[in-house]
Order: sequence, then C-alpha cells, then structure tokens
Amino acid sequence: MPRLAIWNRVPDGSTLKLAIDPATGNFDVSARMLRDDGKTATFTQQQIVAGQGKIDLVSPRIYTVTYIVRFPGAQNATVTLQGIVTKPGGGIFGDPFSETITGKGGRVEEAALLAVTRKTP
Amino acid sequence: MKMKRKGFTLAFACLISIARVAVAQEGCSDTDKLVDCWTRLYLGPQVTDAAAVAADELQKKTTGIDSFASDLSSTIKNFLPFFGGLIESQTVSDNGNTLTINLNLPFPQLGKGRTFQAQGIFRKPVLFEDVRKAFPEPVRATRAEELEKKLNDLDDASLVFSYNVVTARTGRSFEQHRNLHSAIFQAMINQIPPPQSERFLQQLGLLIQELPEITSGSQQFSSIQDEGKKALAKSLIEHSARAASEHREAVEKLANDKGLDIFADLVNNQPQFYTSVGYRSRQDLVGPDQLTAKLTYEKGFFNINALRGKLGKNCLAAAASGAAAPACLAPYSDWVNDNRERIKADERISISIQYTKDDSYSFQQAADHIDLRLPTSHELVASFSYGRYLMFTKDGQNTRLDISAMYEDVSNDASRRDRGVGSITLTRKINNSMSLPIGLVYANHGKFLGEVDKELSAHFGLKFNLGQAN
Repeated sequence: MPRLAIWNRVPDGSTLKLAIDPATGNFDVSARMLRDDGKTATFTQQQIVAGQGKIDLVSPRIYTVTYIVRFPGAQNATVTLQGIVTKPGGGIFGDPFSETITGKGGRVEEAALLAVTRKTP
Repeated sequence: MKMKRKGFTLAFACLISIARVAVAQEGCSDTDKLVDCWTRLYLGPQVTDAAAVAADELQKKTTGIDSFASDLSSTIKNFLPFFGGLIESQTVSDNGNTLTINLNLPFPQLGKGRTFQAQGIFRKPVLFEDVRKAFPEPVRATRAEELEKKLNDLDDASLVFSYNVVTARTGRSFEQHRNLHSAIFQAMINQIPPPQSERFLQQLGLLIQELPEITSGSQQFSSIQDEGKKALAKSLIEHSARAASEHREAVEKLANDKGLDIFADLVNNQPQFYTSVGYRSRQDLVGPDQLTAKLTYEKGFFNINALRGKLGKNCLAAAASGAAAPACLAPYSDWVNDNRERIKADERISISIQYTKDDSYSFQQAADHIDLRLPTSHELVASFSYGRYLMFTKDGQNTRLDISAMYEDVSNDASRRDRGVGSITLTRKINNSMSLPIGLVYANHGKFLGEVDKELSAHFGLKFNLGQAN
C-alpha cells in the first residue's frame, strides 16, 4: 500500500482532513503540515482524534503533511492513517488516503500527503 | 514570483540530475505509479528487516503464572492479552493437572484501558481427601479406585472474575500515560530538523501544478508527456522517499537515545490493584463447592509514578494536553538513562489476601457405614511475592523469576492444618505467544491432618497469550 498520497488541481476552498483509526492503541501519531509559503502546523494524536486535524486548502498553494507514528509497546499495534480532501461543495476530491501500519518495540514509521491547489480558482 | 519559481525549479533540476546518476539503478521507472515508487524507495530494505524482526524477536514481557488454581505465583498479573491460558502439571499436589483459560475483555464503559478478566479453571478431579480417609484402611484403596472411576473431566471447575482498577497511578495500560508519551515524543521530534522529504514534495507540487495531465499520485510517470519534467518528477519522488526514510531512522534513533525505548517498561512496572471473585464447583466426590474473594496489590519500583515525581510541575502541566512539552525532555532522559537496567529488570512485589469459604458437605455410603458430614469452613491466605526479569539472559526480559511465600490459616477446619507454603517459579519465553513456567513448591506440611510433614512438588506448564485487549 502506498505511503504517499498526491492530490493535484484541488479546488480552492477545499479541506484536507486527517484522521486515524482506531482512535487509541499502543501507538503515538503526530502530523506536521508545511505550506509553500513556510507556514507550518503540528497536530497531536489527540487533536486529530478530536477532529482538529483539518487543513483549509487555498489557491494557489502547495501543502505537504508528514505523518509520524511511533509504536512504543512490546506487542504489535496497528493504526490506519487517513487523509480525505473534501471539495467546497461537500464532495470527496480524488481518492481518500488510507494506509494501515503495524509496528512495535519503538518502531517509527512515516507517511506523506501532498495536496496541490489549482493555480486559478 | 512565477519567474522566480521557475528559475528555482530549473536550478533544482540541474542539481538533482547530477545526484540521479548515483541512484539511477534503484530509481523510478516510467511504468511506476508516483506513489508506488515513493513507497518502494521509502520502505526499501526495512520491509525485510521488519518482517525478520517480527519473526525473530521474542516478546519481551514475560509475566509468569497468574492462575487462581496454581500454588505457584507471579508478581505480575497480565490483563493485556485478549486471550490466554496455562496448562500446568504438578508432580505432587492437591490440585493435580490444571487447564486455565483467561479472557481479558475491554471495559470501555468504565474508561480507557479498563479490562475485566474472566478465568476458567479445569482441574483434573481427584477424590476428596476426607472421603478417602473415611473408608476403613483395609478397603480404602479399593473403594477410592471405584469412586474415582465415576469422575469425569468437568467435575472440578472454577470461574473467576477479576477487575483491575485502572487509574493514572495504577494499571499497566498505555492509554493512561498517552499524553505524557506524546508530550515527550513531540518535544523530541521538534529537536530534529524537519524532514527534507517535505521540501522535495513541495518541489514536486510546484512541478505538477503545471501539469494538467497529473491529477493524482496513482498515475504512472509515463502520463507526464514532457521528458524533462518526467525525469524531474522521478528525481523528486526518489529524493523525497529517501529523505523520509532517513528522517524516520533519525527519529527512531533519537527516541532510543532519549530513553523513549523503555517508556513501555515504565508502564509495565506500574502498580496494579485488582480484586477477584471466584466460584469452584465440584462434584460431590471431589469436595465441597468454594467461594473465594481475593485482593491483590502489586508494584514495580521504577515506574511512571516514580518518573512523574522527577519530571517537575512545569513538565507535568505542559504534558497534560499531550502537546510538545520541552520541559519534560531533559529530566525524562536523565532519569530513565540513569536507571535503565533497573527499569528493564522490573523488580516487583505483590501482596494479597484471599478468603475462601467451603460449603458444608456430606457423603454417605451405607454399605461401608460411612456418614461424613463437614460444616462450612473458612480459609484465609496471606501471600507476599517478589519477582524480576533475569537480565543476564541474551534477550533480557525473556526469563522471569518469582519467589513467593504464603500462610494458610484454616483454624476453624478440624480436618486441616495451618501451613506455610513457599514457591519459586522460573518463566521462560518460548516465542511471541508462549512461555514455559517451571517451579518448585515447598510446604511445611500437607493440607490435611495425617499427611506427610513436609511436601515438595515440581510444577511444569505451558502458558499462552493471544491478541491484545487494549
């Protein structure tokens, strides 16, 4: 399964929503957003679970999100990282990202999202 | 702005073209999808490594015996696996062979990480000692043999329910300490430069913004018509993937250096306070039914509670939300790395008190003029245990030693004597889900009057754990 998702020509005013499933387990997720003008934001697992991992996509901008997951437990744990782009009208844009990762023993894993908005709205 | 961006992209393309020579053999091909090439290069050989590690690495947390039926004991009761059990054989014992099955059921209604354990115990039924002794000596062996033929495998079964009190200070659930881990982990990530992968992806974004033929990463590189831009896209994907892989390794290494690799051990060493209630149903020939209640408190010395005492108020206040707490990082690393060996050894003590009520009992056999009547009796057992991992073994936490002493008070039961029992148990992990407990139990005399003065028995078992309850 791909660890990277790319959405190109995303309409202005769309949103990229980060989510994880399940909400809790023997893993710790964080996400870092970088916009091409240098703006950054960091989301903790608690914020993502609470629905605060939502990024407004404006034109013409380029957004990357880096998911970082750590599995601290001695037994395997599994988490599914998700990313969904929703158009201003409410429909889903492109294919949602969903990647299931398993790890244990302090393993760190990453996944990346790239959302590129249309140059002209 | 547009010209500046294009100029930067071209300059970047030149630099990457040079670098591409070195990576051409492992790079992306025209038929690759963008996201697949990135994933393949990001994962690289670590896929194989992870599989090998998963196959070879022995599960670290050996927890010892935690069956209600066993004379052996452990300082750590395992509420974490979803399903588990123990098959135990005893060379000399009142209990004989036993099969124990555990089911740890999440209890989210009571909060995160709460677990409720149901334990089924099936002992090999043996004739009740008082019945055997009631027969006159000349016919005792014959009658006992006749009666034992009437027993079947389910004639001595118990059902035990245990509830583990899980709070911020008790219980071995990671959920209770997620915010602290997250605060330290996040602060640690912030110490590392941001992943370079995102810079390469930003450049890729700049490139595909000009390519209407690319709408998603699920398209092949061959979809890009301009050969120069296709080559640039491949380079950016390759470099981004490798940068992400390097960043992943850097985060993992720093986490280990800062002591986050043993955060799970700190959680494992947390105290547990749990209560158990059990009912033992026995066929009349095996003995009276029993009702048991038990309270247990167990505690590892180097745990999250001890850590919190060292972190300071500023850190704990910042960590309460799970957001990055830089104030935690230095005190956490210092304390954990100073006490690393003792944390991993999980020195642990356990104290418990158990009350058992035996129902009144009667057995008649007119042919042998036997009319046995026993009143309700009560037993009180206090126990103390000490255990730790034997760190001299190659894999550290694969072997656990538990030593236990208990005193059984049966003052109001005329047929039994108070006694002291000591046990030593060595539990060796075989693989991810199985371990092998072996132990010796010594009692200063048998349970029943007239039995040998001293009793020594050897115990062998096979313990298994499957799944994760929380």
